[in-house]
Amino acid sequence: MGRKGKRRRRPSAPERSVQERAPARPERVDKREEPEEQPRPRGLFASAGIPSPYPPLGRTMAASFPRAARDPRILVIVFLFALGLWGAFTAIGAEPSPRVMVVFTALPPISTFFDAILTSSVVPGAVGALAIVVGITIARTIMLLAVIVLTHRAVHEAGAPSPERHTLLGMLGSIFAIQAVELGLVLAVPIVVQAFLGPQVGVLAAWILGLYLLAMAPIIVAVERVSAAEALRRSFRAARLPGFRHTGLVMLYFAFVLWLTSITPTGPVPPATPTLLTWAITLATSVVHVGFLAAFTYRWVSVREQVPAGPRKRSRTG
Amino acid sequence: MRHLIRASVIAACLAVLALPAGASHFGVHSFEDPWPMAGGGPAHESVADGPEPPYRTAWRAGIDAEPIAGPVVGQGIAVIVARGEVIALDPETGDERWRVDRERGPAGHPATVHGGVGLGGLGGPSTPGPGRVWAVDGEGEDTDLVGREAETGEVARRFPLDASSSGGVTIPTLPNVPTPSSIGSVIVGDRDGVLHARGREDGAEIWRAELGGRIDSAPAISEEIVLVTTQEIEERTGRVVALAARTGEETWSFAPEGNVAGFSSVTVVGGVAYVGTGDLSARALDAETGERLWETRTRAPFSPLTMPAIAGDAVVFADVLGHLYLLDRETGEERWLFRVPGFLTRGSPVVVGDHVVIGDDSGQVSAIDLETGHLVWRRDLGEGAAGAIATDGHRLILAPADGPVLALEHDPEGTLLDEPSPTTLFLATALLNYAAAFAAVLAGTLVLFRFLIKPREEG
Repeated sequence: MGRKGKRRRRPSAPERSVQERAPARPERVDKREEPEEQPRPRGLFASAGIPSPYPPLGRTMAASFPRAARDPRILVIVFLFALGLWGAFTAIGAEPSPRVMVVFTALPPISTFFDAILTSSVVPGAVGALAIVVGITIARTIMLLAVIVLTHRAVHEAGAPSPERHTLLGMLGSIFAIQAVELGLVLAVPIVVQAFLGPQVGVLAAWILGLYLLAMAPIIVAVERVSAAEALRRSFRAARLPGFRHTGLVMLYFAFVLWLTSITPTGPVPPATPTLLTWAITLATSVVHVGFLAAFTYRWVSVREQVPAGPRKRSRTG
Repeated sequence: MRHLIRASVIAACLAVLALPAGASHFGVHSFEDPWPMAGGGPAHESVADGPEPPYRTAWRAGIDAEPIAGPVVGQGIAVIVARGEVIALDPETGDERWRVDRERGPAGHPATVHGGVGLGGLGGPSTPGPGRVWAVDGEGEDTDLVGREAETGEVARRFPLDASSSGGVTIPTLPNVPTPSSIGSVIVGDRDGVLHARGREDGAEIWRAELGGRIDSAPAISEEIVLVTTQEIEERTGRVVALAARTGEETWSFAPEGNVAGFSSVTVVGGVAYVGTGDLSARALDAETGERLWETRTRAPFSPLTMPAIAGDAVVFADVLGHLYLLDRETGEERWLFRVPGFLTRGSPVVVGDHVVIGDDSGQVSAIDLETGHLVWRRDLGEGAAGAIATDGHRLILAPADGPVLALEHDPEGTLLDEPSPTTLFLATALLNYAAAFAAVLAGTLVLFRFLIKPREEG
């Protein structure tokens, strides 16, 4: 009799059926049949004992990471983006250090945060800095959409078809808007948090909060072809599904980024000419970032049926 | 009567000419002041005659104290201010001349000056007298400006200030600050934003200028003008202020727009004030009017203990991240940029012949060729900040935060390096490195995930 036998399972959240379900081909629907929303447990640790609808971490990584990492198209896109971003920062005189280069292709909001910080450190004036950050975010949006679509296809062999041109622009706009929201979050939260926890804790808290609530939003746009608002809504709801598995994946990725930025050798003065080792570390870590993106994609497809779509219906009381 | 006047004038002239000999006769020694204060003088030119790199260690002196300001060289001694002590060493041998206690607290650069024998009414005595070392003691309301005998370290004068002071003491050497006494004046700023001009003999207040913010920089003096930077830390604002040396009256000020902090000390030469400002700019301002002559973008703000160094028709700025910029004095055009490994919070560039030498916070001392902008010599002094550099013309003297005080002299057998700045981009090399890494990582990843680690099949 293991722990499994002691657990109470909610009949409406059958974990086994979610994991074993063949990945569904996403339907081109804007209004899916809305699953009946279950009453959520209240309180910070109220969902601790409730099984999570997300696949376990090991299964997630094993099923998604290798599929994305074996696709040369994904790797080439991400590697070229890293080169392009280095070129852009170098052109504006920012001289990205190896510790910044390893998060070039990190998931938003971590990557967008560094875009903004690095740009504002060298570009005088808010307007100029904003214009450059917008330009970088547009490039990042295109890269992100391409990688998510390819990752989705790699992880779920019958993934979403290529978007048509008119929907493509809408999807790009939505992912751009989501990144703007994420950037606003990671810049605003530290201002609020630093008053009582200090600026560094504020930044880290903003990264975690951004990843936790919004990591799936660009994936939802690419997979479900929905608007930014709807993607943010569903991402928020997906994050709040019972159990700690989503938190676990977020914390694992956060810990990886933190570890990465602390151990990357940078030398006393970051050289303007990246060495072979610097590039190798940058590109190798890009593979890991893609692996985590694939993991979030895999998990979204696993739980998408359980995440209500559309605005929350106001229930009449009394 | 006419004969009497003529005789009196001749007698007075003879008396003035005889004073140095007389002073020596009465046991007052005459010393040169090769580096008597921050920047080598009241204008902060930071130019030394020598020695040129490469260097070797001339002497080391374990002082068993934590230096926080200095060194300066004057009156035959090298002076270092530590947390609770003031220490004087022989600049030729490193032997300790004296060591005295000081009230603990922050301190800026000390200053050495000869005492002067009465010429009456003007600031800068032209006749040497017993030397003094001026430094700040204590903290907060218990801060004093203290003058010690250069021979013994004994306290000769002590004048109270209103607040802590960490910018440094400047001694006007021209007769530009009138003093009621015959000895001359000393100028120092404090953290309440007040700039004090005091008589060196009696401490009498010549003038007092309330500039606001806090003054963490050393005042620069040129002819009739005193220039200082002041900063409001919480509001992240700052300005460059010019005052009339005779009255302390503010003549102009310059405050860059925006939320800025991180101003250097001012260097003033040839009627032009050079200053690094917190809006990431190296600037040249007309010292008389404050007119902006040019400004050049820098990569970081500045430490108030750093001051631009004059290198002929160019000027060297050093920002807090360790970038050195050689800029044209006429136009501000950048000739080269070099980055040293450490930050520059205590160190300041010193031009020695055809090189600029600087000690950074990582403990490295670097010499850079003014012509090429390449590193020609370096020495790692240890963990702590290498700090400011002073010279007696034959040796560079440094007081690192965590190591012994040491002097470097020219090494005729040493060799010079020729290393470009790490900030120099070699695009072809960068792209070749990228291409090699691209091929290696792509191939490695594909092999790893296609043949060795296969994805888990869905059930």
